[in-house]
Amino acid sequence: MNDAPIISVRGLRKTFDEGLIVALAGADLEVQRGEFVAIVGPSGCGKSTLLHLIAALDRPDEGSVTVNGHDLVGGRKLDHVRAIDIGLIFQLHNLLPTLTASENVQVPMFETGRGARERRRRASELLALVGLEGKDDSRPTELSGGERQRVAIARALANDPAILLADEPTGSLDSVAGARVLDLLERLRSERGLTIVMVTHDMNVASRADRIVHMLDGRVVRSEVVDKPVGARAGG
Amino acid sequence: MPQSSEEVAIGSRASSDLDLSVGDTLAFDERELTVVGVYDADNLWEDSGAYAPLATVQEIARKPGVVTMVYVKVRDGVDPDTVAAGIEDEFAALTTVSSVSEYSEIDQGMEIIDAVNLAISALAVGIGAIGVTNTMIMSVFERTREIGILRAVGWRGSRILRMVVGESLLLCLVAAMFGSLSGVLASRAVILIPAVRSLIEPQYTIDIFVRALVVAVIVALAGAAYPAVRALRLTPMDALRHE
Repeated sequence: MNDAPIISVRGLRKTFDEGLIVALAGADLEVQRGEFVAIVGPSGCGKSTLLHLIAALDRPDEGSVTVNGHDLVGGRKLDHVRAIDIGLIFQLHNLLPTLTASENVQVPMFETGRGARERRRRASELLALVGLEGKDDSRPTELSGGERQRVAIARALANDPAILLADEPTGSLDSVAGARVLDLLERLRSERGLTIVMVTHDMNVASRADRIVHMLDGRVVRSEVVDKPVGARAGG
Repeated sequence: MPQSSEEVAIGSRASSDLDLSVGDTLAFDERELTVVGVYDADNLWEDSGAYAPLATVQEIARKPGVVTMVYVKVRDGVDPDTVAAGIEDEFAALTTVSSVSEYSEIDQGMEIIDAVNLAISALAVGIGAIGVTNTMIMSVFERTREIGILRAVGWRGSRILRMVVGESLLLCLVAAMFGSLSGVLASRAVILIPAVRSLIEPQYTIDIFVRALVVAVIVALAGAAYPAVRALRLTPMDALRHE
């Protein structure tokens, strides 16, 4: 068992508009393997920026980010980290509208060299896993908001990542669809041992996590373990 | 060859274009000439023309007594240049051509046509390259967010590059095929006009189509270069922020 945190963030600083906007002002965070962490805070506190830097979508001005043993600041193969180690879920599903659900799920698999038949088979399995059996050939416009988000989750799982990063995954969904997405994330965490980091502004959503990290003015200011009924906490 | 002032020999192309053969009558204004022969000189220009007695041609051209060109055959052992110089001394208004290379110089008209043709082709390629570049820039610009999503799920820059260049190549190859087909059809349509048909004979050689294909590939690569580099320079987050 490896006790080192799967995500380690130290002194992370990120500014925009030539330093006029300070999104992160020395954020620190550690996440253990298999943990489900929710990051909360007011608008503009830097929680999405922190998630984007952990997802290797951007480079920080200062500080260090290590994800699953990869240095994201000094390292060069960030594409590989995004393709293999991380699964990313956005608030707005960000599916490619011209592709079918199956093709959307297959997109990340191109980086793993799987053949076309294997890609289709795996996409079908993943769509079934998220409760979308038989929707392989549906285009995003033919799916409901909740279904689109579940296709996005299937896409995030395409290359069997160790970490799932979710930016307001229920933010654009109604309460029923949102609850279903959260149930799915919890199930994936417990069945697959995934590490999940989720950004949300909704404390009810955050309470589904093992731990809630509070951010303010670009820093992590508090971390609290969620008190759940015995048996309710799965996995880690 | 025509023996009397009312006879004419016509080239094979003129014969087919005008649907005339030996024994038929060829009308020039008010003159009617009888076709007494059809020749094949293996030269489009000559085969589209006709031979008639000098006086007849001068009368039709309304230039009695005027001769525009005379071929002089020199005897063996006589220097053509000496003969040419003698003619020019004797007839100051005449210009002589005594060698093939000199004739080429006189034939500058064809060279000018070739040069203009090349310039128009270069201009067309240039305009095509600008069109492809513009199309690819717009395509990449409009799909910036899509590129951001692809980068976010782990696509390498090289794969994005291949996608952009591949699309540009496909665009240009389809355009080259469509353009070649249109060119063949257009040239076939143009030579249906008798006046043009007597001057132009389209050639459909394989090297012309290969050249078009090579130009299409070069234009595709040149047109894709800037948008591809632009797509690669964006971080996934920059691309995702794009609306």
